[in-house]
Amino acid sequence: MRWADRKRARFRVLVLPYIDVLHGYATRQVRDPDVASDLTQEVCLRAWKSLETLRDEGSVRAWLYQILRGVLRERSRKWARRRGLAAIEPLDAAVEASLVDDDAFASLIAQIDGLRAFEALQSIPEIFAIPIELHDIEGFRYREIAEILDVPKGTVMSRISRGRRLLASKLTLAAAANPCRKASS
Amino acid sequence: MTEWSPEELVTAYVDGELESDAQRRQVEAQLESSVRWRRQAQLERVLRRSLRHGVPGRAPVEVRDAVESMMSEAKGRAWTGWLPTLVLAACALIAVGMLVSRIPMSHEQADTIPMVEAVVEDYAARVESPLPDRRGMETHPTWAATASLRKAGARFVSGWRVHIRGEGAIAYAFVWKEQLVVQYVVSRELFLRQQVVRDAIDSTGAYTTEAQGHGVAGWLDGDRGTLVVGLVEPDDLLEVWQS
Repeated sequence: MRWADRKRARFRVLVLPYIDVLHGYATRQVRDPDVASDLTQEVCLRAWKSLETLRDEGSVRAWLYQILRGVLRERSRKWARRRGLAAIEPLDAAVEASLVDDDAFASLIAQIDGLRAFEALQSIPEIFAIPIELHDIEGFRYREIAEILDVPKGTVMSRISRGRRLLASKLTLAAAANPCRKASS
Repeated sequence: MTEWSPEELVTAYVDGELESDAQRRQVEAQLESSVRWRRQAQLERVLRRSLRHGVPGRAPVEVRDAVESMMSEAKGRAWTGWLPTLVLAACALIAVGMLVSRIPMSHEQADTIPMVEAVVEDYAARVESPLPDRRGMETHPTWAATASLRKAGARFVSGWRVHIRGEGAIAYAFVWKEQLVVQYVVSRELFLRQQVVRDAIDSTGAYTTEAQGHGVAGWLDGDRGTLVVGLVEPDDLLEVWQS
């Protein structure tokens, strides 16, 4: 097999299986499937060009997400997503109230479904949302997320913890604002 | 050691990310003692499960098609710095290459050749960052060893000193066929240290191999050995030797 054929074969085995998840992640970031398609292609192109630099094939998924995060960073001005820190305190008070009250907690749990959780995720600062997406949706371990985002593992843990409290708070407040929007299940 | 808040420890516990038994015992005691903590853990599990199951998706077939055609068209890492001036030279070289018959060479696994591993590692590290200033390298005594590359139409772009297997060596970087190739000039002793290299040189005059996706070709030049590394097929690098 020629060198170029071997490279294609390696690319097919290592990279192509992740196109769907890369596209899904990109779509969630930019909220536009067409743009996400462009981004996915860009990631594949960069992965193709630098395939030789991938030493540990076991970490290919984290490597691809690292490339995707780079592409997203480069274009982030265009799709400026929510940035900055949320005002945590009032939200914390809301979730704390739910955690200590039987009815409020039952109501909060009943409120949560995939769609609502995802909507809430879209509304929190990305500094918290991104680690949660990478962990809860994409299934990465803290160590891998730390690699992708180039932050210490402890930071990942803190951001996921704080992000989930924010999510819970958003859902609590949404439930209070729309009491008729209770989950039917 | 970092102090984690009780909330953070519960999060890591739910995610199966606690690193020590002591932490695990601490969180389990915390959960046992308080309904508030048990609810936090439950809430985090529900949130995680909801997100994981709430997001579907397949990439459109157009994306796969585009990637497939990109793979068919692409030939590897392009070196774009001098692209316009190199296109004509590359076309000419390709035409010449088609006319030159290829000599069968010995291909061995590079993991048995530490010298090859070392030059490929240096190559991979160098191409990830700006190349060093080339000034003065053309006057180095080993410069004459690059005659083949220059004759093949390669353009000199950088040079540096490097240690290969504990010995001083010189690296000369060229752009050839739109690719960055680096010629490592090493001592004859180092070059011939491995039997597989000696056998290849004895039988065909050149040694070729592939390491970590890089093509490598080597030959003797007087009292020195040369290894040319690039993201091209090893056999293609022999065009340099034959020129």
